[in-house]
Amino acid sequence: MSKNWFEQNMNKKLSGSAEDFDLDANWKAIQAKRSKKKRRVLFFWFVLPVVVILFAGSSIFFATDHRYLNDPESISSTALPLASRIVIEKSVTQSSSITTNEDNENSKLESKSGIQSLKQNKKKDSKKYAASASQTTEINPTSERSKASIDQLIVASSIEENNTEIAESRDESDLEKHVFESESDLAISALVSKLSLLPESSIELDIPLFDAEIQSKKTAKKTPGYWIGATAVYGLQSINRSGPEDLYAFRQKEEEALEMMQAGFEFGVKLSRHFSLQTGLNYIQYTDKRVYENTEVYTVIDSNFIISKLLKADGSMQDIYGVAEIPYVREINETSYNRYRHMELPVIIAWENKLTSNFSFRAGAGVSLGLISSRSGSISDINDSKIPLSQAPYKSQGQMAGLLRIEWMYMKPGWSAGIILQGRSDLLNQLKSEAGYTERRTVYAIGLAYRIHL
Amino acid sequence: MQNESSHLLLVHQCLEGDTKSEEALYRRFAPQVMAIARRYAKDDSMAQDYMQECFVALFDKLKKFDASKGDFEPWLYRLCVNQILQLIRKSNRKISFEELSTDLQEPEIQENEMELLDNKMLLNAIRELPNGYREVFNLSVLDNWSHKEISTALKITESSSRSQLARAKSWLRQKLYKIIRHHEQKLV
Repeated sequence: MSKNWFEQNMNKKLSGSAEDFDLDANWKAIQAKRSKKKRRVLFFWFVLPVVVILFAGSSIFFATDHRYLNDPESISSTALPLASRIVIEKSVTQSSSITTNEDNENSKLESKSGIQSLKQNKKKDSKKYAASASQTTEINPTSERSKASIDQLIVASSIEENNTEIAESRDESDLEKHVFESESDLAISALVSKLSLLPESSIELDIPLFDAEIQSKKTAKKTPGYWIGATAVYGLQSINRSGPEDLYAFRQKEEEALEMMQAGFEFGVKLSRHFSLQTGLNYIQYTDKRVYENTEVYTVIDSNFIISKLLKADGSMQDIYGVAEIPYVREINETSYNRYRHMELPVIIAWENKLTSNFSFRAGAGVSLGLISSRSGSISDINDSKIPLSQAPYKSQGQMAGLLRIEWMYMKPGWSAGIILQGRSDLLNQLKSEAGYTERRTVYAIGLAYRIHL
Repeated sequence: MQNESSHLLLVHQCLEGDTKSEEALYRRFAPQVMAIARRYAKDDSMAQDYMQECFVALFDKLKKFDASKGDFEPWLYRLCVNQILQLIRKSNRKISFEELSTDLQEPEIQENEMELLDNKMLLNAIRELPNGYREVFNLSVLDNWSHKEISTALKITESSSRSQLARAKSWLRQKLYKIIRHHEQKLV
């Protein structure tokens, strides 16, 4: 490049080096900046697994019902399972009315549970203890008064068995409703009322055992709190490029976005009746079709080429050889497929609602974080020369995409399967900043999911 | 050639984690990198910050240096310029092109007058160039980047790179003319 005098002068005068600065102080500053950067990187890689572990751990913790795991020694009325607490408290407050309609209620109780001895004992003492029971607002299961015989406990448990809905239901409000609606519930209420009316010496209610009974039934029929599963998704993609016209125009021209395939494992946790959180590991592969068309014109110098023919007087022809520049034109038409592979960590929060007893609908939104990525194929660089995609300035990790998911799941005890509709769009540029332009992909996909509920 | 092999040896030792070699590499190239940083920075403290960031980036990306593709020195300078441009972008100093008023009637510095100007005067004049123009001038005239490369780096078109360079040069010639006249008046 020929330069004018002004540029040459400027270049000459300013291309030297700077000596008038403190080398040592700057070196110390550089070392400080490097160690800070190293710490930041280490902190990130330390925090990431900790966050993942905490997330998984807390999700499992909150999805597990801890009310039945209390130490039996420390059980108080407020620590009792809700079912028994409601029954006991309700029976205590209603004891007067139960006592007034005693014959009627007790006959129901008798027909259901056949607890004759209990009935007789309580009949004798019901009036005597009615007043004191109606004033009682708290029951201490560890006190002498709250102790019942094992026989009585078995009776109580058998009554509980009749009321299967209590054990089946996880929902506390449902439980409360059931407890006071059915006849058998009324029987429990009456029973506990009568237990509380018994002479102190004859009551021996083993609350921990009573709890364990309910708990085992609850656990057996409990709705799954978390799940593991697998998904497979296939979709069509589009690429949005922006930046200087000359930079991305040829990429836009030579690359056609085709398809996306995604397969992954997932781990989900139910946060509440309607909300759940899921994460996992997804392998994603984008495929682009690359059509490269070019016309190459090049010259070959041949030193022994027929440059002319000489027609002799006798009519014969003679070839004259010499150096010749022979132009060649080569049409290049190349079709290949570029593949971009990503390993990602999705985090999705979803809202779920049961449509029927077997079908549920889920809608979720979240982000997918790029852990590692690789590419195969080739592209043209700005000088129209072919370079492998592995050398192109794409980010290897740290990408982020937004996810939207709609699912229709067929639910069976222990497992579920269904159809997924997924929308996905890159939130960050797929290319490094030095690439000069941005590239983002958007995908609309359909897929299948299978989950095992734990 | 001998220099290049000693550079490569230093690079190799740096890659093995030898901190003394890192310091040696720094001491060898810091003056040149500082000279580059000064041309892009508004003042000396900013230039020192740029220089430090350039070396942080250098030690970070040293493993990417491929000796088969070219010499170390040009690779380093290019990395530094890229790093500085990135820092300019990060510092929200948007590389935008304000209207640069150059009067066609104004006299411009002549070739023989250039000798009267020292390095510091030229540097100050360049620093007075508005954002955008300074980067284009530095990249094209002093770092020998092509307009295609400049357009890629600054996300502008090649034609605007050319026109901005022409304007920057004209503005600088006028500015330098004024500096010389001012200098002469002082001497008188």
